[in-house]
Amino acid sequence: MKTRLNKVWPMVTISIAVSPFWGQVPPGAAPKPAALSVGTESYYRYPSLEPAAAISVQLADPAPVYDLMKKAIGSDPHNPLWDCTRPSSYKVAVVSRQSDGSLKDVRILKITSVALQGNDDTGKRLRYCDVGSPGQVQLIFNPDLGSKETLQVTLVGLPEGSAAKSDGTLQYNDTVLSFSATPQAAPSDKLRNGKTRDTGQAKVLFSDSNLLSSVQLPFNVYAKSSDLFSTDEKDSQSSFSAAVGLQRGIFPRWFAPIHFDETVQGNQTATNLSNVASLGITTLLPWSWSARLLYNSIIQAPLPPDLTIGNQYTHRINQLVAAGSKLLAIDDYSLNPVANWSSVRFPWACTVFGWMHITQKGTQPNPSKPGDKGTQPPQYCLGTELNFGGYYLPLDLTEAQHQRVEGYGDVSILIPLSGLSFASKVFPYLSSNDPAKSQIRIKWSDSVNAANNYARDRHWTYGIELIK
Amino acid sequence: MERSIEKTNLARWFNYLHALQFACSINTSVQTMTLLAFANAKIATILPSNNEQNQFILNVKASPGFDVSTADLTNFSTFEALLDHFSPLPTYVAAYLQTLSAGAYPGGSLADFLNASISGAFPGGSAGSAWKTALGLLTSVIPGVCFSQTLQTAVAATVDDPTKKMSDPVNQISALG
Repeated sequence: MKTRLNKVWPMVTISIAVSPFWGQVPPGAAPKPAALSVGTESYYRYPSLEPAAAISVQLADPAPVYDLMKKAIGSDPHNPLWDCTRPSSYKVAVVSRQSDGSLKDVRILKITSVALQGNDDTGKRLRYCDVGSPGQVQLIFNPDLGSKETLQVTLVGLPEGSAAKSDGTLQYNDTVLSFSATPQAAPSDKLRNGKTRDTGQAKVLFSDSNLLSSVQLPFNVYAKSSDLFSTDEKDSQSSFSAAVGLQRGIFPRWFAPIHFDETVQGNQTATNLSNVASLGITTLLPWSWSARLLYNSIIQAPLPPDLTIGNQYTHRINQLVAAGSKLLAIDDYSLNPVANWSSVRFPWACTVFGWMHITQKGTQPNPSKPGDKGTQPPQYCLGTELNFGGYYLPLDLTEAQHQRVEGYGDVSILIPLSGLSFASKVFPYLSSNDPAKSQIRIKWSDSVNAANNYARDRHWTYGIELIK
Repeated sequence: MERSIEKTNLARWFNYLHALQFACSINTSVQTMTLLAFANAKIATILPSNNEQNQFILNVKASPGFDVSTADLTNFSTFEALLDHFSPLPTYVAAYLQTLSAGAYPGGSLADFLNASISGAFPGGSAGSAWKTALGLLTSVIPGVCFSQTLQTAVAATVDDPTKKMSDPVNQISALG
């Protein structure tokens, strides 16, 4: 689920040059439309986690649109000449550009609702438009669009002599349903019998992030599949995985999405075949209570740990293992709680590093050097990051016939290069006063590899990280 | 002439900024920030993880009442830029200044006002009575930390520059400081 929610849903904002024309329309001539600034928005409704698509329309910017709203609303915002709250006050059309540069409507998209952005002074969502308020409305629509189709938004029903539309270049790139099939050649591909041969492969990806979009449900149902089919059934890379799941938030005001999905996976001939049922939740701890205890001159931990709990039950139907290898258990279950805590800093470290003369000190602007702004002291000099987790494997018994539990974790010491005086001479760009740009990481980890029968590995890592 | 909706819109923008700061209270470092520091804070620094960003989105939907997407949190680097996307501060500063300007500007279009010379809209420059009144009313709406004496002095220098248009002090004030 975390991956799904991490998905970057693109937003396209189009700024349109402001027309210098603002005056009286000659009799008989169509009014020159004010240029609307529009963009697309994609988000999840919470707690149902259903995807939603919207077009944002700026009603207070640029200035000609603001002026137009004065005319459109009139003297009584409660009884406006043009009602911004109605879907019928807008037209969203898929357009095509003609040879003479004009735009032609190809089809009209249905706007299901209009969401005014912002609360009034009583703390309730705005329910009518006044001049400049709200600054933006969002038109909720069903994004049934091709990837290259462009949209134009027009305000409908404006007072005579007024017009407003966008420039018809808006694109909506995110879709609920996606499918791709990529053929590829795999020379000297490794087969399961140990031989190699040239094969042809097809990589097939499918996802539907809102499987039951026509039905109003209190949760989101999704499906996804990732497959690699080969011209040789013995191709060791061949695989398929098909999942159907549902997700929703548990609490209306606290982000805690839970998901359950069922996955069937194996190779293309199903000689390896298993069924995996997953149940998981991710959330944050309430943290405002910690301000005095964990945000002071000794330690600064302004953010709570991220918590994720995963449950996975695997039933292996068919197993095809290499000669000499042991069959895996037919039924496997794992409970996997994970906590990640970053952004922990130690403010006293700058003082200690200062005594050791390894920290840069801030400088005042030099009045004799024009443009010299001085330098800021480092924002912090020492931080840490902690990651902990565990696997509880009740069906996997140890030699002493105990249920298996494997814990793991890592601790990192972080030193931003921006705080070190020698680094500013060696890496002047990397050590500019931005602790988020680069840091020294010294990490000790005790890890287990779930894909390799929870094999344990302990090691130190040292390095300089460059952070985008 | 002062119309209440322009003043309301400007005051409400700062109420929205306060609400955004409160919506970030999951990060305890925000609680001690000034409103100006918060406005200029990097969203990615204050809300680094996916869970924190989604919790913020939930909070913001309730107050100040915006439907924010996760893409907004990367497309706009600071909280002021994010708020301007939903509620444009330069428009509200300009519209309020327009109501306080001289001549025919208060009844005219905002686009014309932004293109007007400062000397036409506020005769006498920063020493003129129109600008002094406007400045007094602006400071009563904009929190002091976001419209410091230093910024007021810089804006006054712009107002006294005969080559500048009204859009210049509007942008200067909207940058906060």
